[in-house]
Amino acid sequence: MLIPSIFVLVLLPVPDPVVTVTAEVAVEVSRTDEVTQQQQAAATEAYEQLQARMEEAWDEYLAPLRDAKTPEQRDAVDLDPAKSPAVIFIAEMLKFTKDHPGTDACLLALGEVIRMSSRDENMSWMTEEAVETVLVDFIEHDGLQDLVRFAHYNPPSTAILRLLRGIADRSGGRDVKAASLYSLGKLLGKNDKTRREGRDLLDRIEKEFADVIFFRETTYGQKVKGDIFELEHLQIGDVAPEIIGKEIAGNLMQLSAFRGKVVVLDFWGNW
Amino acid sequence: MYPHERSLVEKHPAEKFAIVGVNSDKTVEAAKEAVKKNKLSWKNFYDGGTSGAIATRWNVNGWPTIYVIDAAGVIRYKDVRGAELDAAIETLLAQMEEIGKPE
Repeated sequence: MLIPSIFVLVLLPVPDPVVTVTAEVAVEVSRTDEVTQQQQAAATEAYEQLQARMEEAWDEYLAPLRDAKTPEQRDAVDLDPAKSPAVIFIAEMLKFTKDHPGTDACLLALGEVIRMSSRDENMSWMTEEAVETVLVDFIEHDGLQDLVRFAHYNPPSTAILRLLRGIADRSGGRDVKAASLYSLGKLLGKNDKTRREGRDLLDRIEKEFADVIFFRETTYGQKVKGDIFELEHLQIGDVAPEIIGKEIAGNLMQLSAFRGKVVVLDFWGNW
Repeated sequence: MYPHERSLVEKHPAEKFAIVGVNSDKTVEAAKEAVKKNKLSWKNFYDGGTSGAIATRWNVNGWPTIYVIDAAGVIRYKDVRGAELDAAIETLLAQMEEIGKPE
């Protein structure tokens, strides 16, 4: 069997490039150059523990909803917003970002802070602080795409818009740029005064970033098509686009046949 | 959601008000079953899953999604729920009465 010795020969030169690569990485992350591998690992572990505690608290908080058996019982459940885990854990998350600056887990925690605080005006100082840290410490981080991909589900607060504009302007990554411009376009499109600017951003995504993946197999090109149609034809004051299709029983039906009545059009599914 | 919708259909006269559903269940059998189980008396398009043609065109990414359309076929409210939905329907029905009145 000669194979083992051949392997040895082939493998011998490997150590050199490995050393070089490590050196390059070290230079690249110079912004967070104080962060050692041990610190990264410790932060990740601490973050996982914090997440687990938060999930447990949510489980407990939402138990009455889970235990409700009928829709009527669900409606009767009255959860106290002051006792929401969001209120308690947002402070812990913020503290975490200070204890583990520059780490990957820190960026995840900043994302949680932004998500939880942006729904409550009293917490807007936290959103602003977290946004500032993201823009200063993490502008070249790959994790930014996950941070901004679904940011359009947040209310369009000043801090969120500043985060998205900041990332779109300064980030070098094409994926990150597409994700931030998309969320920004969607948020601006929701407001009458900024709808035009939102529409322009979606057009720009269609031209420059159509091939970038939004999520799983969907590209931004496919995604913005629907959004542009919504901005053009599905706004309050627009005539509802015609729907012609089969009803569940198999008969042909069209939406315009209901003209003359007030119609609640309900997209639903039983899952 | 279903009890509330049933109450709306019971409350308002059929010549002035309708619910039109767009169902996105995976199979038409599942949709039929859901209609029966929840006693839905109104008409529903069947869209053949969450990536169906109607939901895609209407850019629906979350269920339920609600549009309230007036008697002239114009979209007047989006994603209103509960008491807000009740008020929206009342407002549009009242406007219908106003327009229908002789000079």
